[in-house]
Amino acid sequence: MVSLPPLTEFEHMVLFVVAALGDDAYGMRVRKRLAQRSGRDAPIATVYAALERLEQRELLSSRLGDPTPERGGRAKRYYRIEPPGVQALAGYRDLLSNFWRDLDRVLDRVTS
Amino acid sequence: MSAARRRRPGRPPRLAEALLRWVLPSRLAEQMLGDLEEEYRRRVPAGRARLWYWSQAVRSIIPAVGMKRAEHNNTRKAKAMESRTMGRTVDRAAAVQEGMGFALRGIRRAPGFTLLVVATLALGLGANATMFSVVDRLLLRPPDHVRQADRVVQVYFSRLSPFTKRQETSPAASYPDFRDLQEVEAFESISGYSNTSLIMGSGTAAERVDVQMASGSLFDTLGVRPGMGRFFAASDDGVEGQRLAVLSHAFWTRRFGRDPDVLGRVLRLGKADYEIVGVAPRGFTGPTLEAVDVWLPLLTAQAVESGSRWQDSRRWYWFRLVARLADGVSAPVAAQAATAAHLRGRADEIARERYDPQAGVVFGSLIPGRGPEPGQEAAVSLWLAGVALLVLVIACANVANLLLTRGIRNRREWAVRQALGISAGRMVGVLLIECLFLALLAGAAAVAVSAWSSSLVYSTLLPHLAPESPLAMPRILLFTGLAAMLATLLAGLIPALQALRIDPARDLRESRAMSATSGRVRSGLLLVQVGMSVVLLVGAGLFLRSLMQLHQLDLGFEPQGVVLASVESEQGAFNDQTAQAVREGMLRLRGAPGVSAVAVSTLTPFRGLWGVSLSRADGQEIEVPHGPYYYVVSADYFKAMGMRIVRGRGFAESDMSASAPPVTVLTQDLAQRAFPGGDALGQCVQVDEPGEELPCTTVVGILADHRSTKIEETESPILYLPMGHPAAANRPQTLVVKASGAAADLIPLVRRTLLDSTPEVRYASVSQASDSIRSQTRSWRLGAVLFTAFGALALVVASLGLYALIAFDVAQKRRELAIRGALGAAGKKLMLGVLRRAFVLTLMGTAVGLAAVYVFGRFLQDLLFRVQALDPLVIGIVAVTLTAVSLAASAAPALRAARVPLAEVLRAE
Repeated sequence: MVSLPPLTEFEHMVLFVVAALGDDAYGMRVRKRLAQRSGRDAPIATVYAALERLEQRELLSSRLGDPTPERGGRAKRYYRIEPPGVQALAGYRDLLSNFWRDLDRVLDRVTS
Repeated sequence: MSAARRRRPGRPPRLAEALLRWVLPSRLAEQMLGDLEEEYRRRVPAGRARLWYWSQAVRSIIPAVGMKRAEHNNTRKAKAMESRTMGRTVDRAAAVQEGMGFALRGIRRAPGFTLLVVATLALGLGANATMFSVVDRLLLRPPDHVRQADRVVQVYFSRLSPFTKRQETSPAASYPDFRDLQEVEAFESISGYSNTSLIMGSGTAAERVDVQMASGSLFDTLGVRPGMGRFFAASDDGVEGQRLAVLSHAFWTRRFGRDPDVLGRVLRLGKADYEIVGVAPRGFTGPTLEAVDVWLPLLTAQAVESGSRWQDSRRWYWFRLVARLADGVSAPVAAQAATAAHLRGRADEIARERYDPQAGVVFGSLIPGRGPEPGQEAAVSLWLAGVALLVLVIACANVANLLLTRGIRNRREWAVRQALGISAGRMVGVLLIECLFLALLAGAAAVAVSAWSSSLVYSTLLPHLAPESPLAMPRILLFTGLAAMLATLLAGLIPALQALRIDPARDLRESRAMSATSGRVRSGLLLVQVGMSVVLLVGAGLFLRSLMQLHQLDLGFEPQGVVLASVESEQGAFNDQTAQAVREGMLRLRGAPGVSAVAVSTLTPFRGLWGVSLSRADGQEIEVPHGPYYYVVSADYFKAMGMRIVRGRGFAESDMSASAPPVTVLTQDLAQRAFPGGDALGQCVQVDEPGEELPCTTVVGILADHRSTKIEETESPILYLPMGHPAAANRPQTLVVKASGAAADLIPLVRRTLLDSTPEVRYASVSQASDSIRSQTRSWRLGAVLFTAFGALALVVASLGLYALIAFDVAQKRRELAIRGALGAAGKKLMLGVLRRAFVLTLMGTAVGLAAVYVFGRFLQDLLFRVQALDPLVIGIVAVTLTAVSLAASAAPALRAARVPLAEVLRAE
């Protein structure tokens, strides 16, 4: 059994979104996708706080993009999921599917 | 231009952005702001987008602080590992964090305590912020928008007054004086201005507008730029000049809703139409602080309103001067040059001994309270600032006591910390940081308090000034911030020093022990509070007594129920048309419902006087130091004003015609001066305009003395002439109506009657006679209101302080009291012991306060009315009040002391 990095629910969701957005994952985009998928309208600083924590644990990495006028001349910070991040997501999926298998069996029995 | 950029849509709200920039960690701030801006621009409508941005900003505060702290922790760890020399800074950072934590925990644990501290400080600081804004305006800050205000001077003339023959320093200038000074090269420029009011529109829609007539060069002299359009220039200003107007920002807002198309429109002001060419920047009121609605070219407008005889008259003083010194010229040098020019211009008159040869030009600051004529307001506001400071001292003493009391309660906690190795410096640091945190809260609350009280103070103390401009806000905030810091540090210092004396070995063992020093300090602080309260309450009492004396004063007439009215026509006020209208109004109102008497007069008490010369039949002039003065009235005037004829008779209708034998009525004061020791009634006097010979006028009545210029005055050398008297050079211009009911109900009728009286009437000004009395008593009312408010505040704070002190003492001595009670001491005795302590403290505090009153009271004497600063009645009432309040405040703890259950106390041990 591999040891998984501890993730809060929110960090978990952020990690998912960054992975899914691919090359286009920056703060506001992440925030919006999160809102679409989870219905949770988080303030931008909360999103960045999570991104920052994930980056410190090397599950993500970031780089600066080019400044654009519609952002008041400010650059974007793009995030990308790193191999440990992918491993963490995969690990959690395996972990949870093990539990689901048990639960499915119970539910099957109850319903049948 | 800049305003347009600010309104451009698509720019996120600046304040929210600034807030974010402040709270966000520096590493990510730019990218987060970029993200927010990008999204903000996509959102519509603009209002929604702004709301969204704000919600993001506010909701980001807490996570952002968390991020910052994490960032900070990381760097701290890294730095600590990097080098040991950095230990000091890290320690300080940790102390700051610990102090904040301590403060926040304190608030959570005792929200009531925090509220009490913050509210006490906020009231003290709010009072000071309010008074600062007034003092700042009157004594510290030049009028807004003036460039390099220290190079600009108000010009005064120091001379023997041509009218009163007394030495005076006056700003009044004649037009030839102005021309003389324009030649002075030490001035870069010199400009004239004159504040007046003109009627705009006519009839019921007419409005009185505050006008500053100004030389075309005034705006250059002050170095101000127009907010919109242009100012009129020196070339526009002349007797036949163009009729141009510049609006003040406030007037533009009030009358035109900031309509940008206002330029080119025409205003009917006084006798002429003026074209609007510009709007002044916000808050600009020219070289004075008085509210201005419209600027008009000085010479042009004066020529329109009063003709042009003033051009060559050196005896027509009608405006003031303001000058900018030329580069490199000092004020004394410029004053010398100006004096020389002034005396050159007046050389003819000096040669004929018509003008003071010692006259000179002196300069005053543009800051109103620093000029040669600082005015009553500056003095009163300095007094009130001092009073506000007293309130703050009381608040500080009270907060110090509260913190000290809590410090004693938290003694064990501190003892534990010390035992665990916290350094003394760190401990004090943590306590002081907590204080700063409280200061921040109190400062914010104080700004809210002062926003409310400033408008109150301005409307009562300085009703003629333009409202405070937004430019002053940063200074007020800075002052409040600094004062809050200083006050809380002062209040926090003693408790912090007390904390240093904690001895873990003793204080952990002995939970109740309270050091004698701390008890003495707390009693001392309470004495300060009680003493200052006494000072404020005595002040309040003195002003209230002054007001009572004023109300009981016999004015010699009855202002209640009297309506006064005057009118203006196309030709302005005080001309044949207005006199005719007022007379017509009197005739129409006679016998109208609600009117018990109606009359006309040249002027009325407190609204000006005309001087006259008076001789006895033997031709000897009756010398009166100030006066005599005269009024020309119609038959029912004494009845309408409620004036009393002491002997003889008043005027009858038959006295009013020009062919009737000339008669007069004198006040007792004048009768006494005219015929000392004799009887004036029936005597013949000669009433003259200077240089005329007129027939004998018979004194037919003696009138009780009445006040006419100031409420404090004692002299009343006045004579009354009937309309039609040959010496009555001025025609009655004031309508006096005595109501049978309330005066206010009659005002609409009087106004309508006057507006309908003759077709020439454009404007009717109608008010109650009691209003002119009210403005006379303003400074006392102000003193009474503010001293009472501050005094009551101080009393509440001091009694809370006393309650806290006594209650805490009782709580500390529970064990002792319980044992004494169990050993048979009567509850009554224990209770009296507690009350005695409160009583002694109050007595000592009162003594401290009375000593202060004794020392400083005489400075207050000038502001009082017929009350001694050491009035025994006031002092007695204050002493009794304080004693009663202090006994009431200590009653509850005293009762508690009487029944402390022994079992419970011992169980708690």
